[in-house]
Amino acid sequence: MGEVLVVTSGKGGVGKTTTTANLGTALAMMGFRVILLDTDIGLRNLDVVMGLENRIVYDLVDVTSGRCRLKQALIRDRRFESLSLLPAAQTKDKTAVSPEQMKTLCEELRQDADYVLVDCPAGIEQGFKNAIAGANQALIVTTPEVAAVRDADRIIGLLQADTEMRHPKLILNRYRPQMVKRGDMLDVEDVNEHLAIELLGIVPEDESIIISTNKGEPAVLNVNSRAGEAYRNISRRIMGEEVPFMDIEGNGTFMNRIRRLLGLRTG
Amino acid sequence: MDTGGITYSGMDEIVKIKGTREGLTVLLDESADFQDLLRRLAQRIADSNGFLDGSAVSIDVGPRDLQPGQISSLRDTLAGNNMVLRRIIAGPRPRRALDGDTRGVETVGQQAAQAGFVSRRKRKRKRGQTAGGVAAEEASAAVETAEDRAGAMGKHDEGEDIPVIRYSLTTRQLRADVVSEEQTILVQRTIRSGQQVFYPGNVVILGDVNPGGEVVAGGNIIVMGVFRGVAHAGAMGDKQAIVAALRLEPSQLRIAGYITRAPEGDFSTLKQPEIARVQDGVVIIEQYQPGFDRH
Repeated sequence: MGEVLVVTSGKGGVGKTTTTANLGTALAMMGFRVILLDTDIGLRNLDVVMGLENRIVYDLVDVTSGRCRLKQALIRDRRFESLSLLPAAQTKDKTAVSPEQMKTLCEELRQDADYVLVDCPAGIEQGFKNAIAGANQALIVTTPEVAAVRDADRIIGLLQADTEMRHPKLILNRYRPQMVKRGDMLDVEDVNEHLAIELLGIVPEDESIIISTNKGEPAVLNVNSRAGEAYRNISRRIMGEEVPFMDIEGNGTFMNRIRRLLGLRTG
Repeated sequence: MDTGGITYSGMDEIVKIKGTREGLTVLLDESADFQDLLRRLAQRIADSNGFLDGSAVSIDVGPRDLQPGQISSLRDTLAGNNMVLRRIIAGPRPRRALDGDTRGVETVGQQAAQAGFVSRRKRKRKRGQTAGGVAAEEASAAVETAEDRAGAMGKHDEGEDIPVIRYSLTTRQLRADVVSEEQTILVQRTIRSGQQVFYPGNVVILGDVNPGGEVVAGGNIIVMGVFRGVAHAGAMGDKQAIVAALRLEPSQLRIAGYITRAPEGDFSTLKQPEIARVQDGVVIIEQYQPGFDRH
């Protein structure tokens, strides 16, 4: 029985789909059975980012409406045997499935997977409600920007009030240490003070992400990608491993701040 | 209610004890069985560890037909702990509809005769009244004649001269609000964006209020944390209300009808507790000094 993790943010464009693709691929690289589920009906992107868009025959709505069996819709990744994608529908919209249907679907998916990663659309309406319906854990993605953090706060509030997922975890994406040093960007502590949830990882801003999503080759496959490295570390932390934070800034004080955040002794 | 909101209704408690300007009021659940209420009342008194001993309370029994001896039972339950039953407050008897602006206190038992006299006068007045508007209803306490009471209760109970005040249903709600003006709720978590706290009395928050969060209070707002949301204190018109926080950085602040927002630019976080209040027609924010006198 696998875990169902929903990757959500509230704000659009902060990196949910990229995160879903990369974490899923990283976990599959380590041998886990992973199913990626795109719930952004009408604006599907996970298939593109994974490089699987040409192989879509059936989609999520086909499965929930009974037009096909789940196995027919799941697309197996050619790179990793244990990685599959259930794409969203593009010609429908988010009212095409209900939270109840999503719950049933996720129950079925987790029978044959170690991890089900649910890519949640932006917003707090039907799409969001669908995506969280079947999940038992939440990963909140935000960038270090006031607007994104505000939206993430809203999402955390909704999760804590309306679901059993009271302890979502945070992924801070597109972090730019130079801007933080200049005081032009929120730093980890600012974000943490506002959101007050456990920090799972920090992904640095990295041009290679744009290249990777365009090509459909997740960054974790590229050993030279710093973002890829961060995602690989995050996937290990999801498994429960204690992985030291990447030295994004290259100086000790940053590490000490992280240590303090995690409740570890500062060196 | 907003999905991110908070409801305060203490639904399971059938005997609630509230503090008011006039002392303690015990609120009995409208639909609970009277015997259950008696038992629960005894239990709550016992649980209070002597805190309630010797106090004089009013008991609000809701819209009930009071049975013979029920008032005595209540009084006896209290007497067991040296508590005194000052008066009974009750809603309209279920079968009667109310209209008009009627006000009065009725008394049972030994003072029945007197009360009857009083009631008769009031009944005359009642005839002259038109069916009251909502406002009148809200302001009214209905009167029943002592004869009615005597009839319902059968024999007068010995030594029973507890005044019974009746009021319309809407009044009970209003009374709850009036009661709550003096009351305070404690919120023990951070209020996140999109969440609201709405309360007719005072609100104390052990936590932060994040931007996008709202606190609306009839009374004062006190935040043991960083306040970055929207605060509206004295929301029912109380200009004396204050907003205090360990760090007061509201996106917007309102006291009664006055509104203000954070100063532009970097208000260098002073990192000291501050308090906002209305003075000479404007909202001012100043350093919080314990023991200050705002009157």
